Amino acid sequence: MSRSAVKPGECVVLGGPSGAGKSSILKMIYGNYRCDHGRILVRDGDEQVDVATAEPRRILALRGSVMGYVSQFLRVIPRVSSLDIVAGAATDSGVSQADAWARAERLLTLLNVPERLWSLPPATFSGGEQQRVNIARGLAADRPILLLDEPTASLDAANRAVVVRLIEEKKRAGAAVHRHLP
Amino acid sequence: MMAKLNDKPLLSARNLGKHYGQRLGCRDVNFDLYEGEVLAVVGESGSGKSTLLSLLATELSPTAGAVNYRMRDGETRNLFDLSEAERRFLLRTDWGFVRQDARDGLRMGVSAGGNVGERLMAVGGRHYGRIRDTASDWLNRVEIEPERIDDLPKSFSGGMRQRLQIARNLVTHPRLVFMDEPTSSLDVSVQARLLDLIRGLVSELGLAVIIVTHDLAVARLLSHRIMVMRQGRVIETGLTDQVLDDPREAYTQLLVSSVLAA
Ligand SMILES: Nc1ncnc2c1ncn2[C@@H]1O[C@H](COP(=O)(O)OP(=O)(O)OP(=O)(O)O)[C@@H](O)[C@H]1O
Ligand SMILES: [Mg+2]
Repeated sequence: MSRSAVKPGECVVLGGPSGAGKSSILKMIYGNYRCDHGRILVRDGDEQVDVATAEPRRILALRGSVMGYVSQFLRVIPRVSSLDIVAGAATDSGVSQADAWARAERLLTLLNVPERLWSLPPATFSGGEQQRVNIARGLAADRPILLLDEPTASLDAANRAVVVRLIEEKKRAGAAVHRHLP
Repeated sequence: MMAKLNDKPLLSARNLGKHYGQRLGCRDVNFDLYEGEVLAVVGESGSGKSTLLSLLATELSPTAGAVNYRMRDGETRNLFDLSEAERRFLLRTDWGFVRQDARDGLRMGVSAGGNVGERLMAVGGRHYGRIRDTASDWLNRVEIEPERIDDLPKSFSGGMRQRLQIARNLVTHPRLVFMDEPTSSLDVSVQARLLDLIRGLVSELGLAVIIVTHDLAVARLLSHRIMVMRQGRVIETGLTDQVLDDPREAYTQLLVSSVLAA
């Protein structure tokens, strides 16, 4: 179809009716869906990588250090605590252990996840609590590209405002944000 | 987890094939595996998964092709050119093999501690006290109470036996671990705990793993990449989430759709 580019610190919103393919585009950028035509060029340091043709290993490396993806739902891993999930996402992207913990605590606090839940795996949490843990996880990492699929769907107004503020913070820090809103 | 991108593969299969007489086991298998990568091999019964795993672990000899392996000294060798002694050394030190049936992977007449300690002695451990301490430490890591160290695996539940197999295999810090349906003999709740344990250890130790499973949820949870086999051939490969969420081959689509919420 067409060309589009996102620069560091920019936020692009994909809008449109349900079924228009917004989530699919995000998933193609992330390498989750395949791409039959065209190219998706992602800059990794000095290198341009075409996600459409890259080796699985190359895509995994991009996901490690360059692009993060926040889906609408948390895929819960049994027995891993919420705090570990969020801090783990930060360390995976190269943040030091100590910073990762501090960051995780701050995000969970801002997103109003009660402290008594931090040490528990999110399997038994309410839908909204799980989603907030999921967002905290997505925002904990330091990556130049952040893909958000309906990040605020089903959040209440207060939490939605927090998410918007955190995204602003990310942009100021230089992340390119691609998001899809209902 | 993910490493340098310009390093060399740990293991490469090249045109690998096995015929049992006239019957096809698998054929034309090509792939590279890098350190720290987890590759899941999926496919229906009889598609050649176990045959492939046995070839890679040199338990079977191929009727075609080669498997190149980067040894600890950095040299890459075709596994089928190794001497028997070199092969046995690899099996004891550099590799692990977690079997579907714990009875095939454990020595049932030897205590839990002995099962773990035996692998250490095979790599030259001599000091009894230290071997016992390491064994006890590993039992703890796989969530078996160290008090059970002198018990026979016969007295263990299925889940405990699998965890003991994992301790036995990982105690020597292998670089590559083969797993053939490691969770399929267990109840669902026991499976979840074992999977979670495997997942943690694999990422903590940076292991390369080749895991055969018919359970796509297992592949989803553990693997980075998937290879789909059918009638002895690899018909689709790719990133795990890509193959499961956006399968290309009609057969894979069928496989994925017949499993709810993998
Ligand atoms: N020792 C053998 N002698 C003859 N044929 C064999 C032997 N082992 C396997 N085969 C055949 O090779 C093919 C592949 O078998 P394999 O055991 O590799 O399948 P698989 O994918 O592991 O299946 P499952 O999911 O049932 O374990 C099958 O047709 C099987 O009958
Ligand atoms: Mg089999």
